[in-house]
Amino acid sequence: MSKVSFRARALDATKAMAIFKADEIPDLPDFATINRSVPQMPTGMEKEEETEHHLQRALSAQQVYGTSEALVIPIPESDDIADRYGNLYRDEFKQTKQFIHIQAFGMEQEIPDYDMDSEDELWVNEQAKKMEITPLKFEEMMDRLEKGSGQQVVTLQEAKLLLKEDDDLIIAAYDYWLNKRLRLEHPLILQVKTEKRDGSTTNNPYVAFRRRTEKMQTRKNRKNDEYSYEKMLKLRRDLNRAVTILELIKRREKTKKEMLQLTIEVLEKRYQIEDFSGTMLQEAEALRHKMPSTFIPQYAYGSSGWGQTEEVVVRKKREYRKRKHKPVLQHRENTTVQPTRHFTDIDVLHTDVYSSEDEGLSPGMSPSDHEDENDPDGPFAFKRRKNCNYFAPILNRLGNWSWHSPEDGGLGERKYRYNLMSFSRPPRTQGFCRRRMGRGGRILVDRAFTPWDDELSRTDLSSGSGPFSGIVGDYVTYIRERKIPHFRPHSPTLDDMTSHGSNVTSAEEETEFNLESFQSHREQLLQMQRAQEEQLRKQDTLVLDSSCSSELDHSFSSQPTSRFTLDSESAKFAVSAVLNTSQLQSATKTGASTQSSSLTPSSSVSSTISIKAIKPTSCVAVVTTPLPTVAISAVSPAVTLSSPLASVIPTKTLSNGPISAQNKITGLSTSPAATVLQLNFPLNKNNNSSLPPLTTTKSLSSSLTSSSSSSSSAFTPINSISNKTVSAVSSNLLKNFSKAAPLDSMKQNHDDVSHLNNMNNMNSIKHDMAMDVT
Amino acid sequence: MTVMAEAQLELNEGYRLPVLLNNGDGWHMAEILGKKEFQGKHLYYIHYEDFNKRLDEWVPEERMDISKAELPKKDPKTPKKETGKLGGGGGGGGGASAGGGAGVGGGKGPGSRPVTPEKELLNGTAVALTLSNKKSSVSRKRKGAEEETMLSVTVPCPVGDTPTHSRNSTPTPNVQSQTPLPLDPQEAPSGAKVPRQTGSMVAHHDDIITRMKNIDLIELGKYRIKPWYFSPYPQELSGTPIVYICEFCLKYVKSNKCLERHLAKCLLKHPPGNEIYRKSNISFFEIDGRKSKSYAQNLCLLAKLFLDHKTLYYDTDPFLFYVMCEQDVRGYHIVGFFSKEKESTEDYNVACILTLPPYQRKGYGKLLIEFSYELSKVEGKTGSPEKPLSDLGLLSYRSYWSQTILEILINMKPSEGTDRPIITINEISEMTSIKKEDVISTLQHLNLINYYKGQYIITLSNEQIDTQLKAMAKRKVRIDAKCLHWQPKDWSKRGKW
Repeated sequence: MSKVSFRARALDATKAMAIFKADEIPDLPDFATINRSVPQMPTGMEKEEETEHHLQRALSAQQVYGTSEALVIPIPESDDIADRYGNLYRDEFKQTKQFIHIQAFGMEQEIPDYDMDSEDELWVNEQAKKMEITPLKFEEMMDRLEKGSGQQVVTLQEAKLLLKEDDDLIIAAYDYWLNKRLRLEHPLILQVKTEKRDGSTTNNPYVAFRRRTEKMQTRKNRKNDEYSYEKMLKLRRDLNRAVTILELIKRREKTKKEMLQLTIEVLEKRYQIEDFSGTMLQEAEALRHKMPSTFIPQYAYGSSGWGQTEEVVVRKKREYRKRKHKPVLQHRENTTVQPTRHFTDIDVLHTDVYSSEDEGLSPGMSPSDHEDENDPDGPFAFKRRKNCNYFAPILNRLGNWSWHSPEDGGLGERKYRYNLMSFSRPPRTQGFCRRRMGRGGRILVDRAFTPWDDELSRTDLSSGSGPFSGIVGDYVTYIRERKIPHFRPHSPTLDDMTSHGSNVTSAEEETEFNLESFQSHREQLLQMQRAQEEQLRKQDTLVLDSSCSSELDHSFSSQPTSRFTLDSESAKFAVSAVLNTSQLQSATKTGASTQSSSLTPSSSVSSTISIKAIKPTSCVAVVTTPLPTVAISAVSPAVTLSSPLASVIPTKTLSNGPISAQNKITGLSTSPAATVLQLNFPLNKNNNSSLPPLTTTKSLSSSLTSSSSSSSSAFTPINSISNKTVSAVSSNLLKNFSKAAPLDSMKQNHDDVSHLNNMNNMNSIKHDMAMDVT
Repeated sequence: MTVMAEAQLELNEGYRLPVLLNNGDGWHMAEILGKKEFQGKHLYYIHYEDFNKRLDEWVPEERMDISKAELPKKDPKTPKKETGKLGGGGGGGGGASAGGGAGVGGGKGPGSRPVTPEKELLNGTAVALTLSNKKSSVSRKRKGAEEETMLSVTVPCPVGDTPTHSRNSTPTPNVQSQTPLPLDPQEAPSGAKVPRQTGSMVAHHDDIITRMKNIDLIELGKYRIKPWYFSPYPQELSGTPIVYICEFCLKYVKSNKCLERHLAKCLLKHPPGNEIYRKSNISFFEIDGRKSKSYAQNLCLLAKLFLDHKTLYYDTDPFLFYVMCEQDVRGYHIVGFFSKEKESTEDYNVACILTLPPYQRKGYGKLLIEFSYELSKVEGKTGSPEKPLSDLGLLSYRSYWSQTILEILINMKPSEGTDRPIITINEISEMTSIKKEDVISTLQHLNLINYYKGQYIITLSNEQIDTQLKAMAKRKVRIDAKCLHWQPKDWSKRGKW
């Protein structure tokens, strides 16, 4: 009737619909026809079943009555068997308070799958009269036999292995089982058929629960998996980084704290020793910059058998470096590379071929940095060095060591020769000796035994006069005439330095050293050129022009392999500082000489030594310098000096030794991190061993405390903490000091002050770097 | 006469005849599907036409009106039982059970899923066949597009008078004969149709074996229940009069003695999963089909007895099973369950759902459905039951949807400033977790949507409101969201089910 000419809009699920009651809109039927336009939704049933009689009946009932109760779909019946059930299932279950939560593996029941049937029961009851068998035991046996049989039925032998029972019982059960199985022709434990690989079971309706051939996962999910895996990897990396950073921060803060404590200690000590002028600080500063940290000893040749080796300067101290560096050090000590290098250095002197700078080590890197990395041999890896000559091994001769005679293929270097050695006070000749550098910069004097030792000891080669008679007199004359070199101890004091060179020995040695110094100086100049450090060169000349003795000059300039400009500069400065120290010491020399030397050194020597002995603090103060490379070397000459035996060694050796040793090691200490890490160990040990009486009075709770307490004057670290203020302070101190100090070389001190300031700045830079790394 | 008739007419599979209904309420046309001899008497497995298969049964000759027996139609409804070859052979798709003699094509009604193409692609001949079918089909285009599908799986039959059957399309013997013949050897072994791997429901599978119930009776807990459909319990159990099933672990045994023995050993008093809901004596357990394999399989076997479309073809790994139990002094008794895919690609929140027959028509079905939507609410998703639905499933869901939606509509209060409550379909969907399509379908089924003055409105009749109020009064037991302790898992991130 009411045919509508327009189509209704499609039903919009997002559009709000008002809810009416039917009687509220009586005119609705007029619009009824349009309602057909609402799309019919599928029921979701199989089409052929949708038409089924009972369903249709129920659906219409549901539509009409709102419920299908009146016309239900008939279903097959079920019976209640409550009586039987009550007997079968036990009513002993108690409800838990908590929700039931099963354990992961708790449900694995160790009960046999086989359930005994009535037939079995009869048999079991029968057997139970003869043997021990319970239903459960029977079921376990059957279970094992069933599960033991796959395609093939287990044999009696196998059954005996499967069942751990008496033979009689096994045989009986096995027979029973086998008979039953043969009779029934199917497994006794009923199981749902599983698929066979050959695909023959694809359509067998009794085969169920097939494995899914394809993993049911959408591409999207796999992508998600990859994505989350990558994210996890990133997360792990980031967390690792965070951990590393935190560790580094921890180290940095620890170091900061230590530094602060050191500062406090330094100030306390300065207060105690009333170093208000800062002179001691100045000394320590100077020493710190000058001294190298470690020494590479010469190869020990005492084993040659004909010579007698005596360690003249005994140092109890051990060099302490960061553990990591130790192998490197040992490596150097134990191999014969050192002499070879030495010889090569000489070689460099003659030809320019090898004089190219060692580029392998940049200032910021220690050799260990090179060696440790990416080499299977680790720190022991062989590294070709630019300044070294490498020769093929010599098979038919002893070798080409420097100390071998030219006949043996060596160089027969003079410095390996044994020479006569004499003391001026008491005037006597020691015999044939050889001076060399020992481990840690110790000066060793090897004495060679000769039958004339007794005779020689009574001679005085240096005096030039004496009632010599016979062979001895002839010999002395012979020596003098031939200008055969011999050793004489020399004092490092200014007086002595300026007045030296009277005897043959020094003249001889000087020529030798000049050769070296020439070579090393050339190298140094090259270095400085490369470094483009104008100021550095100025300092160089300044130092060279200073009133330093030629010996000191040597020692300073004989740094053939110094690669780190900063170090070389600091060393230079240190040289002058030492000079100051000695000057100061000589100035403040007191009569209370604690020297207990059995020998009688020359006056110049004795003065130096006594000063050192009186004021060990000035030496030891250096120990607390935060740059251990310097500190160690600073200590070593100090100790060398304070040792009575040191007096036998010529002064120039004293100063020469450590510094030249430094040449070989400078690379080691140039890594900033290493520098900081090395901070405590060497200092502590040095102090404890070198100054035991002082150490014992103080507690050893903290290595730093002990080090600074034993030194009783440790102001040097101050500049490593706050560079600017300290540089100012130290310069002030130095000024005060230079005013107060009754020294001739005021001008030089002023220069030194400026040097020190420079040094402070540089060191502070270095230190800042170190802090960043740690 | 009767003797004569009997002598003349040996009843066989395919015959149709009226059979007295079980309840004695008249005669209904039925088809003989099977035949067996029991205690010297013939028993016939019959299917009542237009009745659900669950009413199929074994009947003696006494209940059959043999005089009215009809010979098998040219187009028998069900495929002939294959003799000698178990499992229906490598029949084609759908209902095709390629009988050696009575080979038939896709026995699918119109609208059923077309045969998947991969089968034809298995060999070149099949492709050629498809092509040739296309050619020949030109002449019969108007007869229905589905025939083409059907034909592509047609197995040529040596017996000319048993052509392929299709319920709604007329047989086309002539076209059949045009079909090239060489398909049979290739198709039989390779043409095995494999159900899709997702979901748990399968479109109709008219295999003669699966068409007939294989278990006569089960005993589960305190009930003896007649099964409705085939279930792939071990074949050896088919012959036993009663299959005994442990009501806790659902293990099946062949005899009462075995059950006794099993109960003496079985430790379970509840489904082997976590209890995620408990209110009064109703509890829900969540069982992972991968972890509790044995239980899940037993549950599926049991459920298959009452679910026609459920497939047990694949393992239970991708499913979770939510088992509803009633608890008493003996333990937790299974009342019903629903399964759910861990990851559903089609927004299904239920795969299979079943209230065990003894508990049916008591409101448990709605409780199960309500619970399934409660889970969806926690997940923040809308969901729908997997298709196809069974008749009872459709009724239950329609009933649930109707009541849930009506409950909302009736209780809607007008918002401020308006005189009338207003709601969108999406809002209903969000409130109930019922999928939008199901909301529309329900509104439409209830005739609630009307087009009035240029817009859609919802109208509620007084009768509807009355019925709803009555129905809700009857639903005493409801799911209480506060008693649900459950966290949805993101199975996609686990890699495995």
